[in-house]
Amino acid sequence: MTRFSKTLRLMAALAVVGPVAGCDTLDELLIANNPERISEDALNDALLVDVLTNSVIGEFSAMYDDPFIWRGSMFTDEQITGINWESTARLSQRLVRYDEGDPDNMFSQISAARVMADSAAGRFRTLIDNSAADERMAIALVYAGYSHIILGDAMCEAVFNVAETISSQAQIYERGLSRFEEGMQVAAAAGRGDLVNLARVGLARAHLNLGNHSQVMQHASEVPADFVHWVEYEQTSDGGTDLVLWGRINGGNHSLGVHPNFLSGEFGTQDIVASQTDPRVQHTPSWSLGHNRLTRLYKPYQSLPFSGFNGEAQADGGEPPFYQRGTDIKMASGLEAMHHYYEAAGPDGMGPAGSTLDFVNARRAAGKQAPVDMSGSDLMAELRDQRGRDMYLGGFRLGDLRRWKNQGVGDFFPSGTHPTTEWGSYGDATCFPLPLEEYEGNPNLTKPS
Amino acid sequence: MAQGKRKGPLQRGGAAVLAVLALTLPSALEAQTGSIRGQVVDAVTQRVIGGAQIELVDSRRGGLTNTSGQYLILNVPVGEHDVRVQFIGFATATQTVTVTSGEAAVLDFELSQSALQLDQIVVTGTAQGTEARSVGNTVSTIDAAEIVEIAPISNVQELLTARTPGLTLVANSGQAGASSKLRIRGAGSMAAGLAPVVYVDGVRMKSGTQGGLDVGWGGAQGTDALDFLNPNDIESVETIKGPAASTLYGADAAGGVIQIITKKGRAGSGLVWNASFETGYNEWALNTPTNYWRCTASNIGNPSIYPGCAGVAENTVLEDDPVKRHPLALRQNEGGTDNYADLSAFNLSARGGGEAFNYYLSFEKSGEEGVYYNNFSNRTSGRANFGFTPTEKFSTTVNVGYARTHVQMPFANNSSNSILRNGFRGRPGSSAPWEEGFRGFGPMLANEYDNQTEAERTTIAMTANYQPWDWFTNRLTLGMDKQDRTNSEIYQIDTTGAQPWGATAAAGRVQRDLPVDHSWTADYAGTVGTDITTELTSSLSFGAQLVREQFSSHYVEGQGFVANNLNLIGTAATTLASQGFIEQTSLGVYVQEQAAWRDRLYGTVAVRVDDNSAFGNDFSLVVYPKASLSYIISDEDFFSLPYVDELKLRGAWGQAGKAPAPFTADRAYAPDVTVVGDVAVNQLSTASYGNPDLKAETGTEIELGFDASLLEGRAALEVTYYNQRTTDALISVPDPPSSGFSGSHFINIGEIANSGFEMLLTGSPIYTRNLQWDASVSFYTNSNELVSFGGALEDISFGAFAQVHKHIEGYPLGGYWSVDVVRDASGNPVLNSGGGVTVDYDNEEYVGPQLPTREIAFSNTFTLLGNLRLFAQFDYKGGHHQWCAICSIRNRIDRNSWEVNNPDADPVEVMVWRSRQTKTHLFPADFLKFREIAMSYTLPTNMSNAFRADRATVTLSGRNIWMWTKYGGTSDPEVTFYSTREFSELDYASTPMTRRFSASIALQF
Repeated sequence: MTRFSKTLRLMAALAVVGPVAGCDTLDELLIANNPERISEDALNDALLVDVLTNSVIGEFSAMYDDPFIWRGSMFTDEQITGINWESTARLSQRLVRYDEGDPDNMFSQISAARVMADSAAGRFRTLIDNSAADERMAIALVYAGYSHIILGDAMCEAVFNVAETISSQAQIYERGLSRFEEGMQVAAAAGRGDLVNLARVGLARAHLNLGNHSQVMQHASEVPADFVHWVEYEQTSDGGTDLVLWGRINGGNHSLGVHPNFLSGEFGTQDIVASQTDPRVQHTPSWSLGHNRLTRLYKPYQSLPFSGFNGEAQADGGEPPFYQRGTDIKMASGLEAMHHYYEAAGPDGMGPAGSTLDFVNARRAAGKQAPVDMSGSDLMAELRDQRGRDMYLGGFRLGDLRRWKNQGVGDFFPSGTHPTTEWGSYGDATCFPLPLEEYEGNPNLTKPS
Repeated sequence: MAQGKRKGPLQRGGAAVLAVLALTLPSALEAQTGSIRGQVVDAVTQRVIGGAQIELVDSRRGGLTNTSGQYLILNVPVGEHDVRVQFIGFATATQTVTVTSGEAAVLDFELSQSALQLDQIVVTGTAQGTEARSVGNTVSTIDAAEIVEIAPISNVQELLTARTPGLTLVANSGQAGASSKLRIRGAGSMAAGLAPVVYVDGVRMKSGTQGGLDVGWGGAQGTDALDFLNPNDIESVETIKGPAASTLYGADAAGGVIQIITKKGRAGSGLVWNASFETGYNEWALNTPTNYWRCTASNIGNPSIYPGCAGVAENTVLEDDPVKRHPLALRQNEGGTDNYADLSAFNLSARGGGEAFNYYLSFEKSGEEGVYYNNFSNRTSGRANFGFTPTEKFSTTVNVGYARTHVQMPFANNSSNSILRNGFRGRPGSSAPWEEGFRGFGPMLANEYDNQTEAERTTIAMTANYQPWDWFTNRLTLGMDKQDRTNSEIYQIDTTGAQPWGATAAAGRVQRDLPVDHSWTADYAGTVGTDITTELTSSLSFGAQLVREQFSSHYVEGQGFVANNLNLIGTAATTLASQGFIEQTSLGVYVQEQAAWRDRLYGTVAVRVDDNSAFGNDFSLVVYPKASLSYIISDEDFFSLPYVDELKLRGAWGQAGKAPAPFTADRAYAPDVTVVGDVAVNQLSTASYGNPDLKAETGTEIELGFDASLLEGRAALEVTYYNQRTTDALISVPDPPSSGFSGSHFINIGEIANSGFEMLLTGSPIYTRNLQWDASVSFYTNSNELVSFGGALEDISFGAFAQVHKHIEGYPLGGYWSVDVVRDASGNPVLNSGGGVTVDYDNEEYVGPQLPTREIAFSNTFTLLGNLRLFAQFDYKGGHHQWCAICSIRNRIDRNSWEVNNPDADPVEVMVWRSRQTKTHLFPADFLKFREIAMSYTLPTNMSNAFRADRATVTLSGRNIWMWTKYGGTSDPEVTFYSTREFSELDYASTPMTRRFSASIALQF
């Protein structure tokens, strides 16, 4: 064979490979479709404004029942859990490690709601022609504010947008204020009074945690008594829009029960001794073992923050309803605003519902409790008691207990031996730490030593 | 067996061959042609060799010898011809014969044993089919046809177990239909998957664990994607084990490549029917842990909670084994409704061919029950493989496989509703929520769980070979793999009010998940051959390969039945639906040059360029080079080593990749649903954080070794050293939650090392006419280390029930780490102020790797008098550890172990057992299993004829016969339940591998 013929053969080989390797259509061959995904760039589309607004609401709803209420209330004296999964169960003992799963759930899901709201508001400034008077902009801003409140209630500290700065609880609340204030202006311009009131309640709540009592009273007093805004869940949709508490309370592997502090008698002396006659804090008359087959659980009936019950049925001798898949939760209400108001006003306060004592007795009446004649710290203790009953399992207790502890009112977190005695004693955690995932995924942070 | 000698070629089986060939070749014995006939026997034992491939060297026409070792080639042109005979285990023989017009030339062969098969053609990792002598890396070949004939094999997992050094199967469960994880040469990746890619007849196949309803943590076991294959349809399995060999497979193949080659017909051979029937049973083979409870005074006084403690003396220890006691926990339990977990299989195949065509057709129906009442795995499959060679320049094959599988899986492992979990965690004498002795559901409820997967799998592989000139060959393979599954679950309306399956299921619930897997392969290879000099030849190969994979799914659900028998989704009160879609495309081109000097020194260099749709936008192509050398040094005149007949030295270096998962490079959102104003509306949620720089991992490997034929072909020894490095290893880094994303994303930053030895020794220590002992020993070691995190992380701690695993630099990936309680200088636990022990989380101690670091397989076949065969295989794996999570849970939560109920135990030690320390719950997991046993008897011909068969074989076989281990956990150290994760191995009420016995009869017509 001649060198020429060998070369020809080599060229023939390369002639086959060359066009394939250099083909302009290679990129087309490599296009892979995924209708399940929308790229971040594609979100800058005016046609998606309504969907993004839904996303702001949806991410908030997804976070609110779980982890915020479900896991957050484990830290408090509202519920004990009979869940079998240890890292979650330890929350019920106020034991939490930054490198276990549940702190991640809490921070990540609240952050998802916050980022969705903040980023939507940012996009709306350019996607909506008159965003300063658009209700969708108002929704994004007010929900961003509430996301900050939830973050502040639950987290010991927080990081925003992969930054290097760790914000304290107070700084978190302060970040929320500007969202509420702008949201209130936009809602007013858009003619959405309900959103204005939602922002007012949020401002009152944030200022209460910051100790700005005059601002609390200012904003809370402007909220109508019958105002209510719901976090919505649905009866007939997929699992993502169910009320998580419904599943936690029902079924063979149920895992949520009323904490002894809200029970009558069964577990001995309680800080708050609730009577079974108080329609606001009701539970099944007998216990059953939870998912871990260890913890005795009294299943709660719906309390005032939930859509299926208004407190009247029990007064008429009826039984409060159990939680349903589609039960909604009050995100904010006129009653909540009044609690903020009178806590800020103090024992000698006067407000839309009369004096602090008048308000307390009105709430006692709602609980079929006899009126009291108190003043000073006793009255404020009773106000806190009524707040605990009015807001039971509604997502306020963790923030309340932290505020009262931080502001020197008292440490009302559960302590001593845990009701599930085999677990030993309570720990001392009051909030969720930044999770391991933030330290490992955020190049600006260093893991705690 | 001398019968072949005593009978002429036209007698008995030979007559059948002739008859068929006469029909298929009506033009035989024409003028100017003759025929060649003869017999092939073993040179030492004189036993006839059936199934040997015989062909004319010049025209490649030929066929197979029949069961009497006879062959006949018709219509052979007059003149001189070279005739070649090949049969596995024997040296290839070539003789010359002269054919005269109208005459039958007789040409008998006596084959000499050759344990080393350097002339064997391998197709995996090479551009074209290539003789093993020229390949610079090791290619392990399993002779599946022979193994399936004797060993108890019902699926591909069993076929691959303990037969290839370096290939490890990590069993997820002993349940019928459960999957295994395939590993080759340890763990080469943290996040891109460890499994090799699998091809069937050159076409990429879906493999590995398949998800389904409830599959994963705390649920059901996944099914195995390769279970659709009938082992009886497999001719051989070739495995290449790492980047040094798998370069030509590109960016998916760093974990190795397994090529399954199905049976084909033989041109020129007659029609041969094979039929077999097998029946047998599975049984639970291991002990189950006994549960204990020591009655305290408080328990005795509280009979409503501890009824078993009523009236007994304080400190009385109650004991129970509910899994073995309850008649419905396991099928074999006394008093149960079923005494055995039955299995059966029926196989029928036809194989043959004419002058220019060949075919293989098969049908199979098999099924086995698991040891639980709601566990079975059934398969019905068929295969049609056709080959057509119209001219010497062109040939084509079309292989079509079709299978229907049907699997029912029980709840298992950590499921709150599984029998084992609740049986192992029960408290004797304690009130139980559902059934005595069970922590959660007892068997009555657990057996109600109805989770089924029905799959329909169609595979097509079409290959065309075209050789326009003698120096230019082309091969094009086009193929498809399509699987349609229906995963279903149904819950009847709960009429008890107890809602045992939860509030949703209580109203009646039906689920249907309909995933469809689709993959397409297009693979072209061309080779230009050149004789540069009389001693130096060149083969220049080039090719391109496109693999496109697509997964789509549709999920529908109905909640709230009107009645139990009106349970269609459309009639339910609430209906739900969702869908999913994933697509990935890989495209690669390569060029390879192989130079051969004097047919003994072979050098190969190649380069492959790959692109993949999963790569990030800021990353384009990846280039993988390879080089290898093979030297048959024994062909040199100077070579002289005692007892060594042939010696091949080999070395290979190469790279291959592991591509990231589809769409992990893009930052993206996913559609979701929420409620606004009591109306379900669309929303978007964060989906993937992304990484625009994402690319494939690069595996680089050097492989050195030799293959030797010893003792005049009686033994063969293969030894290989491998050293692998994975660079740009994908590490899964958490998305910083403050970004709003909450999953994880990949970065290419890690470095991982694997090294070790592989050895395979095969031979025949006894080789006589009346007794033959064939044995093989394989040995494999692996040393695995995470070399570097690239500064991205200090470590990754993870694990189920406790963080017992770590990825940490300097140690094996996912190695086990323990924590103990705080102890004083004497080693005694230090009591804290509360009188308890304190777990010392700050001082973690390395325990050991989680994957075996050494494996030995030893198999033996004894053949007596030519027709009685005894087969036994032993399988050892060791050097690794296992986390007995359920031991820890039993000690500290259920408190039902002997350690914490022993009245004589040291109270401080009891506190240690009951603490969250992990040190006493991590055990060495070495085991030796008597894996397979079989006794096979081939009936004398006159008895076979009673069945109108040429050959009849009766086989009794067993699997997982016995286990020797010092493992301290509750179950089988071979089994780890986490089918959906790569590194989280644990023992948590895992179903051990079941023991199986079966009897079969195989007939050949």
